[in-house]
Amino acid sequence: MDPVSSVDATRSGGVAAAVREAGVVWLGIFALGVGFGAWATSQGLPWWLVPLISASVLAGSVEFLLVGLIVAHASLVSIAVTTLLVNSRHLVYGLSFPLERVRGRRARLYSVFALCDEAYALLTRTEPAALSGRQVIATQLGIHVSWVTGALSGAALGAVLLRGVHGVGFVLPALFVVLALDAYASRPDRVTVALALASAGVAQLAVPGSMLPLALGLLGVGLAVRDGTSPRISRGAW
Amino acid sequence: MTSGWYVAAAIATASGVTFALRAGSFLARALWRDSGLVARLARALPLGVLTVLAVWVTARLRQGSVTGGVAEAVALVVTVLVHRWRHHLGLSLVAGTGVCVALSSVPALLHG
Repeated sequence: MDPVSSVDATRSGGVAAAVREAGVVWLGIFALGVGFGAWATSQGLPWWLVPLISASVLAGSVEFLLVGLIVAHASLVSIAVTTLLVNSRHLVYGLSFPLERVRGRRARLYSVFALCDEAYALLTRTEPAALSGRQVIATQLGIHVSWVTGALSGAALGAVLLRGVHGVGFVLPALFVVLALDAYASRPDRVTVALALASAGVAQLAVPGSMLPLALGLLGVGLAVRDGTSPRISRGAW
Repeated sequence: MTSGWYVAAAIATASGVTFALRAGSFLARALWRDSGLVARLARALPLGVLTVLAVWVTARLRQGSVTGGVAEAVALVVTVLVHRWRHHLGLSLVAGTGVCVALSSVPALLHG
């Protein structure tokens, strides 16, 4: 195969793989974006501001909070602290995200910028070697575009789009549950699951409203302690 | 509405902090590149993080539900069963969300 056509093959292959693996998730994220846009304008935000927020922050939970904070004219310090607490879970994402598959400085910068929960979940479920840089970027770009166009549609058309339709938001819980099942199937590690369930349970009891940062902190500590106490010979197994 | 500069600064703050956290995680990986502990943590983290995220979203299912969480609970069971049957991400999501939307329309049908 000559070099040119092999490059073309990887190009279209990466995008096709992204559509195959993430297409339905993009549709779900578009629907969630519509809900976010409709809700944000109902809070008093001008419609054109909503896609600007979605495009530049790209972190759903923080964007919902940010709309409330802007409407209440909260200080920049409280916006910074809120974002820091809610998004602190991203501090562990880089440890396993396949950024090394992405070539080029600008592409890598974008990949880091667009590392949301959904991108992490979709792109850490396969072995990094099986991913192309194009598939990584296409997956993230698809999430980004779906979220922003969804938010714009919801903000411009208001709640008309989803009037009387409930339950579309279920796609996100379903996504994380299914991806957790897949992660277990490809790596049946019961100790990690038990540590994660225990961390989530404790955090849910301690801070019901915002359990994620504590749960992931406990999980990190638990995994490190497990690593320290497991016999060296078995370490390669997990 | 508040001033344009305030809104621009607010968005820039949330965006900047989010990017710093995401970039910081790669800095951590670069700093501890030779650590066996970090390498093993990185391999175990996706399963652990996804389990935590799954618990987080499941615990919040009743919020915003028009059926007191019944539609979501049934849809969750359907999602898991379809996924164990076919192991196809898209099919499982469409089946589960379809069931949730269908069941969520029941109260309106009964009362309207």
